[in-house]
Amino acid sequence: MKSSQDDIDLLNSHLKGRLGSADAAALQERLSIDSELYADFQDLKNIQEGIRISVLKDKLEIMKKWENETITKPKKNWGKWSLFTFLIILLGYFLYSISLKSKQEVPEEYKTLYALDFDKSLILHSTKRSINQIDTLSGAQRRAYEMYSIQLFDDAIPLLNELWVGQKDTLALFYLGVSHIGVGDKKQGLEILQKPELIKYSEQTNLFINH
Amino acid sequence: MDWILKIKTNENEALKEIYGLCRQDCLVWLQRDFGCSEDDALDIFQMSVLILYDNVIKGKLTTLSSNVKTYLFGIAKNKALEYLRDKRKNASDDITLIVNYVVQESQDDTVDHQLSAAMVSLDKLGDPCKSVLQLYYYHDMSMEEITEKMGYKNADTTKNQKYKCLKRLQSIYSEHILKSTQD
Repeated sequence: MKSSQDDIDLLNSHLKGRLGSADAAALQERLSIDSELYADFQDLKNIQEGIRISVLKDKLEIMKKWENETITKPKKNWGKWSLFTFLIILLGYFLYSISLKSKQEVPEEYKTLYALDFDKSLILHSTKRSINQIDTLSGAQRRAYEMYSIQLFDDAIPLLNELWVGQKDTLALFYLGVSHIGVGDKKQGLEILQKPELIKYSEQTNLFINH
Repeated sequence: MDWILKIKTNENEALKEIYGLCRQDCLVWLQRDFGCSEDDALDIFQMSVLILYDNVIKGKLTTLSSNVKTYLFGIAKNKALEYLRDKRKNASDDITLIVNYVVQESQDDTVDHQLSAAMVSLDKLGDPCKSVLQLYYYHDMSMEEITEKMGYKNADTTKNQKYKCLKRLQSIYSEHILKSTQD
């Protein structure tokens, strides 16, 4: 391009239709006698049109991408995705069942204790309530202890833990140890039951420790 | 929804919405009423979206008197008739399709060849020059707008950059034309 920057600006303005009629006429006059300016004008016209096509081509590429990514594929792969989702659900259910079984299993050596002697030996809070007799338990204690009493250990553990951490409730700590063993977590259960805070429940903790 | 404003401000998102909104109905309609094959219908639909976009950016379409779907179907109908009676439909590469059915200003092979050379040169030029020139020539942005979009220091820097880019592009373009005439 041999024209000056000012001339290029002038040609651009002309191509964009921004010249007044007098300026446009003057430019046309120059274009008819200046072959170099005319050649640059032709090049600019082609370049401008090439740029337009280039932008449109980019847009077409984007549309083809949409076609592949978001419109065609989900339709074609519907069956595949359904099967995949079904398998994921099945696998999830399978793993959940396994974890439930393994976690809720009371260790073999304690099975009799949990099955036959639980109420007699391992429930230490008062379970009697009547109009005339008001127990001293708080609402949180009652909820946690009741969960424990009916051996819903998974539900009882977080409540009992809260009572121990928040209120230093030693009975809750004892129940927590028993609950951990009840869901198969013998190691953690025994660790809790050997805590010095549970010395006053040694008769009960020995059922586990000296088993 | 003001689709024209949306295309001007957030073009890809707007086009994607329009594309999704009209695609299925338009393809079914082109196949059923014009006997297009699935591939032809898709080509025609995509060309129609490009024409809508081009008309908005070039300022040919400033208001929509009907909804965007009706407008797009109107373009698609004309393009379908043109496409099906035209022997050029067999030329299926993207650039030929765009030149023949969207731009439609070239009348002979020489001009087609020059446009093609300009496009190839622009690709060779690469970014940021390509973007600067596209913003200036196609999107008709001012130096200030390009400065903001490209993160340049000021409008003078942008103007200078644009001029250098144009010089480089023209040089690649001339070389390309010269080489192809020698071949």
